[in-house]
Amino acid sequence: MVITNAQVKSHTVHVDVLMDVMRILFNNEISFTVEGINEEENTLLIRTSTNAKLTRHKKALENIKTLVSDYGYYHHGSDSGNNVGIDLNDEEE
Amino acid sequence: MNETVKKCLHCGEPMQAGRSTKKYCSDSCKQAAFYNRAAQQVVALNDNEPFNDNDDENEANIDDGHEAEEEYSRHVPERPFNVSFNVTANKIDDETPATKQSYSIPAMPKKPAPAQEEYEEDQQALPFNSRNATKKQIPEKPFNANQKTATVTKPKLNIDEDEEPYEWVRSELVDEIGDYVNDNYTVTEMFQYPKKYWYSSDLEKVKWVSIRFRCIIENLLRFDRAEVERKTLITMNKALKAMIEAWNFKFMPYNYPLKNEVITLQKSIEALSKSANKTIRIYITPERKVKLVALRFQLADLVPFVKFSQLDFSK
Repeated sequence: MVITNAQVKSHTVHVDVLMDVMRILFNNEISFTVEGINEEENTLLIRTSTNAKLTRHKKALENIKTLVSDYGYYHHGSDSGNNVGIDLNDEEE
Repeated sequence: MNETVKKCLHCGEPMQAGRSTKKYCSDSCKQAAFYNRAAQQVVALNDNEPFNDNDDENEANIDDGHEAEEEYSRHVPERPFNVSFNVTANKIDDETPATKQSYSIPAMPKKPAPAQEEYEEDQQALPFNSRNATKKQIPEKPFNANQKTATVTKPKLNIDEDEEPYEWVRSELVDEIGDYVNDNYTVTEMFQYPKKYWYSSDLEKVKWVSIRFRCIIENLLRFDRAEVERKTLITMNKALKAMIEAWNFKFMPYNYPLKNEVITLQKSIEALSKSANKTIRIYITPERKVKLVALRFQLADLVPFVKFSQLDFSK
């Protein structure tokens, strides 16, 4: 299917919110492909192709971004997952 | 008066014409010819052929032959309104049955208004050249079942896709995590501003326990939906047991909020580690996952994530 004004974006989606993201994609007829799987973090890299002129598609992308960011906010917390393996001595203030 | 032998224009019989303009042998032939001409005019009308309708009078009953013949020759009488030609047409007309059927079609009225009035009064009669009944003739449907069809006729299909309202999808898991964090806001605040709640000596113990607890939670969340070796679970269980029996945990400040959570988690992992299988697929229920993710979120304000191999749980 050829989509004019196609907008391609990639999203890293955790398995916990995968069903919600799929619901968004199917409800709004957005074509997507699974580009990769990260088994360690339980995430999928999904590439979506949307029509830039359609408001519905724009809102769907916003919805996906919000879902992913909200879950990431709670999942990674304040350290954003960057503090893996820090030495105990470094945490002293 | 000159008498000439002519042929009747209708029956073709020879006749003695008393005058030059005589066309028919008798009155009956004259009448029959008149009806024949009228029928042909109806056929011509149905074939959308122009017709010559020059006279408004019906001249079939005129007794004066001379004048009548003149008028027949000049004028075509008006087609009678709503007259069926079936009786006379069958005798005269040799045309096909299709034409005969056309005789039953009502003639086009010159004055449309009165014709329509007549049709409207008669509920069963159809309007001219129409097989569809008028709106007045259709009885109103008594029930409301067709209201949906009425609304369907609205051009919904023609509405631009952008005008359709977008249904925002929310994640139940994320919402529940948010609710848990909000419901236990004091815990979040304690870990955000620990010096408000604990002295420095107690804070060391709080941090010691919290770092290890967060490490266990992180690993448990990673094991979700994965196959884990039994020995890994045994190792985790031993580490938690050692932490619970450690001096730091035993002499924790009384207001540390996660003491019971640590004990509960240790018992769950102990139950899992007692499985006879070599590998176990761990599935964390949504309720337990909400709690673990929320606890991890709260602990992240106080302590970072440290790898399991870098921690000593028994100190």
